[in-house]
Amino acid sequence: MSINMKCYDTTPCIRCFACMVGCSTENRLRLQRENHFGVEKSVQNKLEQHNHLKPMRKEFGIFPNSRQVTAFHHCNHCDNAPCLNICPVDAITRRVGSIVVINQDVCIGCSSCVDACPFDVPVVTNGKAFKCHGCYDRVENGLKPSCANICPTEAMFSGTSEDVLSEAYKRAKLYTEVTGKEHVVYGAEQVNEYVGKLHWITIIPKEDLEAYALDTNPTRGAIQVREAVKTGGAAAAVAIVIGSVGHLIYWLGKRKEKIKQKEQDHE
Amino acid sequence: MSKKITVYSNVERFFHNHLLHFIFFLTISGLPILSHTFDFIAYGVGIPVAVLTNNQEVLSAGMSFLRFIHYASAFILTLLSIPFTFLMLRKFTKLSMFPDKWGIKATIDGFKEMWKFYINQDHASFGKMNIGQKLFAQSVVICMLVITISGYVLIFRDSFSVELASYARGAHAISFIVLGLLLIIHIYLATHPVNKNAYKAMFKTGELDEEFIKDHHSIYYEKLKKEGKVK
Repeated sequence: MSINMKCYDTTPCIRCFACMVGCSTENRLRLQRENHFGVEKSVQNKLEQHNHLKPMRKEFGIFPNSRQVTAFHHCNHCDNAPCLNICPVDAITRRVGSIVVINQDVCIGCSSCVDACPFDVPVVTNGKAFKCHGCYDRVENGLKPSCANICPTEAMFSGTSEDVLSEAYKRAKLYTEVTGKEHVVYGAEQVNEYVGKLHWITIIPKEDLEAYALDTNPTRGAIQVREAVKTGGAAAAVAIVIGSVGHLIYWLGKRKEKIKQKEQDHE
Repeated sequence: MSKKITVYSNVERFFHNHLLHFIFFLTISGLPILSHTFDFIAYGVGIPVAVLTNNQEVLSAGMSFLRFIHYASAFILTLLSIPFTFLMLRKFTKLSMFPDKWGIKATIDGFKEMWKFYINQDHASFGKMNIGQKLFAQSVVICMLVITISGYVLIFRDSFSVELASYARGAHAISFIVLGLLLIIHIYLATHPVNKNAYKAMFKTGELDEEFIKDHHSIYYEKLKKEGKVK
């Protein structure tokens, strides 16, 4: 299976939120299908942890020159996923097609992924971490993810990375020509070393990156330092052990010499 | 027979020797969370736990059990540390972890004395602790403070922001790694033949011979003389 990718295009999006309804519905169906949840329980309960696509509405400017932006908060399925790297129990895995998935049966709820994710995505509820799983069950069976499947304007689309990237670049080029505003494909190129490329990309005017909360340098400094110190610490531990053994050998040899010297002095 | 001088009180020895057990449990239970290199500990613990709890995920079962051990050890150690901290604070200014003499020259001289003793095997002039032990003790206090505060931030993380919890996770691991490295040096020097008297004092009697102190800890001996504890 080739690498799977999802793209959100801000231009044709009509803010109908069908993608969110699709995501929520699909996850509730999964609960009924796999976790033996009753229909009532899975529909009536809030179960926020199963809503993997969340709107963040913001207003900019002062009327009449104001505008509203609805950014989407979701997992970006990073190429160098920090959540996957830090998980101590290997509950987070990369499926065939590069979708990053949390296995709740293995998760111990330590929140390491929450601390490592620079996009604040995973949520821990009842001792288990949750985030978008890219509808891997649908994708691996030849279907589209529910959000892309339900989108009426093709603002959310998915497919192999080649197809999605070529369509995304084509659209970004068109929008730039038509509107005169530079449009970029966020996440198609390496965002930074901490997350690498993203498997959920966004077509957006460059000037709106901040408004849509698309961080151009997403990091978690403390976690990066932690990883560096871990590597340095292992090397230092080896050096200290070798140094200690070396000192002991030197010290015993010197002691022998000193005792010999003392004996000669006595004679 | 040489007079015996009490160098470690019963409280100090009790705390030190039990701290050792707690650090062992905290290290064993914390290492698998820190790095996959130590997964074997979680697997070792996980096999019986998984069998007993009918959990099919061995690593997950082991890690959950180790987390419980980590929390329990940390909680008991915190309780144990509270009275000890107050006792130490009462004689804060007299603590031997502070330098006998302050200043850069005194610090360099302290290292020269250590070199004389540990490398050249010559007679050196030390206080109750040498400069290395003092720096070690100060670093341990700082690391323990950081570990404790960051650990409790992580336990009660819902009361703090995600950023702060992330910093706490970083600080917890970094201070543990620094502490771990210092402990390797500490264990090596504590079990070194040259320190066998101090080792015996810490783990058995709490006392050192007056003659030994006079020979090996001359600055400390002078201090004891001033206090009238030796003639």
